[in-house]
Amino acid sequence: MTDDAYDSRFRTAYLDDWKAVFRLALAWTNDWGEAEQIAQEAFARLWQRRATVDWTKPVLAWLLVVARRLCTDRFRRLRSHPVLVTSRVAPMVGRGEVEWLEVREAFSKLTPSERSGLVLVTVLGFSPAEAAGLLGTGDGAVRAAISRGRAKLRREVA
Amino acid sequence: MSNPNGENLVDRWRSSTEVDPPPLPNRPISTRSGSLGPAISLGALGLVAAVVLGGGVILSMAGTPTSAPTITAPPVTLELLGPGQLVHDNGLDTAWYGLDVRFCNRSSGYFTYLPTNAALVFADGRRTGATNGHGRGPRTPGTPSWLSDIEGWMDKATLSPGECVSGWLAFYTVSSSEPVRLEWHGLTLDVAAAFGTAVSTPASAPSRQA
Repeated sequence: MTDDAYDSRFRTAYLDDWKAVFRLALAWTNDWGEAEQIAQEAFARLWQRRATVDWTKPVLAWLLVVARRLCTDRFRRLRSHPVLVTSRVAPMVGRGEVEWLEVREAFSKLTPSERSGLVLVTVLGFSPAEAAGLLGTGDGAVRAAISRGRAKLRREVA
Repeated sequence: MSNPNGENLVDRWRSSTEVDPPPLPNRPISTRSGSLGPAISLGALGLVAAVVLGGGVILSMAGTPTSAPTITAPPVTLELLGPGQLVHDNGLDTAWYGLDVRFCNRSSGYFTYLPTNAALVFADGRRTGATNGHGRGPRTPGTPSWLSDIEGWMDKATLSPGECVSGWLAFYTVSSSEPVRLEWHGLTLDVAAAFGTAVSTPASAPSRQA
């Protein structure tokens, strides 16, 4: 495949799938900036591995698994190596992020697994079995996580 | 908040995350003036760089522009791929300098590249660290474009022997004077040991890093 062909497929995947990858990363991290960075990193990995990725199938699942691994890696890294942030400039905040900040607190009561299961199934439309495959866990664990997550959200609005 | 199922929270989460992806390619969104300043040939600085690597590589950008400057010091090279750009962001009411650079590991061992090790020094002596890495500031041009000839990841990256990383470094303006040089600070301890070997005996191969 030529670089032009890779470029075309990559752009299509980027436009079609970026939001889903970002949403999973946001669900896991509960941090808008981190989620954007992880989504970007996932697509960078896709480009770097363009020659080995199976483009005959949708690449969304591949991207979501990469994003989930990046999330867990980043969490481990942050725990073991606190990050020095060099910029003192306030982050740029868009309208979506402002609206999301209003519900962030409620979602912070959920664990990353609960948020991710809930988002994959209720927002992105995956089945619990598919979500389990993406999260590297079992079907039952995903269902239980979603149930716990919903219960916590109910308590938040009570 | 009246829905007892909490589903309205999920709906609000869904609607707030109906966002478009950042544009491709990842390049400066607006530029007002072109050059960070003219560059000089750095061939003569190679030896100097090798000597100072333990404390920081100095890439001078004063003088008459010739070609894209490259500073080489065993076992790494740092190359400026083009003129720097002064980028204004009206949303933040601020500006930053962007530098498109390539950092290559020419050694036979691994090398950990950290963009936060870079600092831009202004004519009045003020300096500022690169903003990309782990900050939440604007990502253009602070992060690389995979549509350019990126050969690695501009965020922290461990480079294999012969591997390169390229992309944008961004520095917020902290002075009204012109930037004069890029300094590369704070090599991690394990890597500094390898450099120490290379600096003291340039012909010898650096030790392989874990």
